[in-house]
Amino acid sequence: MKIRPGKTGLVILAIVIIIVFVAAIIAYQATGPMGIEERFNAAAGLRNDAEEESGGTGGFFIEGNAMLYALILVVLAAACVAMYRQFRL
Amino acid sequence: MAHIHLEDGSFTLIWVLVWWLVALAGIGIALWFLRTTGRKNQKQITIAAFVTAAAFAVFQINIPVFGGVHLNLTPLIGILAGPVLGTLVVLVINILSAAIGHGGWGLVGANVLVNLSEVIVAYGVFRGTRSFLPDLFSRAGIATFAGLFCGNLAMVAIIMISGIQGVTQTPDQVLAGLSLIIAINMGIAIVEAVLTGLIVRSIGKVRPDILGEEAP
Repeated sequence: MKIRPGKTGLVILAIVIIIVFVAAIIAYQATGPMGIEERFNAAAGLRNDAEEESGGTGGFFIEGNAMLYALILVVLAAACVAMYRQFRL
Repeated sequence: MAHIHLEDGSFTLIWVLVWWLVALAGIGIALWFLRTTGRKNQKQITIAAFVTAAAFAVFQINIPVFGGVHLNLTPLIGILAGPVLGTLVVLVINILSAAIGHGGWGLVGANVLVNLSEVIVAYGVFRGTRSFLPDLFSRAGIATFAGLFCGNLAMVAIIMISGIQGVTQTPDQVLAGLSLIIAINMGIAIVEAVLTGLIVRSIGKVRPDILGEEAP
């Protein structure tokens, strides 16, 4: 079968879509219905309430800490202003 | 799509700093390019601003397919804004997303690298296949698949290299679990590829110069 010039891309795209769709269905059946975070936690072997635990050493835990979130945002904003003034983009 | 959805504290502080430093190196290169070459290209900067707003909004919308995943639009960022401005766009999106609680601050560096790989690969495939894939819809769709697949590979590589604190599985088991995430993410990539293809084809009809294409 000869593919019309200009249609090669559509044929390649269709083949990729079919392969990807079949793979996604198989993977979804293996994992079951989960949200993004739950799927990540299941893949990594973490419990879904892991943020409430102190997990490991050397990490830092700011999840849910509004003050730390605000502090980091202020630091980043200040860094952006400093870089803008310095480099005049 | 490809985005590391782990809480702060999943990576050790050392790896958080490593990925931030690598991301900052990429951002530094992009800024250097902008200062030396593209500084006066106001049209590209305007396009970058638009795709930043669009991609940030899309980032926050959960698509209820395969349990729920969000789109990235990073391949569209690469196609429209290019890899240099695209680097800054993904940085801004990741910072703003972290600011409203989508992902952790510590993972912004790693996620910028993941998204950056999507931007660069999509841009390269879209430009590199122009001679033998003239159809904009399919070319943008294929570029989207290529970009998002590489983004997923980068995501898994970063997680496997860093290791996750507090895991109860072996690296092989983690890799197997992450492989399933890649397959499901690529399923959502179908939506993103079709969407990107339609957007690029529409832009190509009215303003082919934005895509660097010749008018039909």
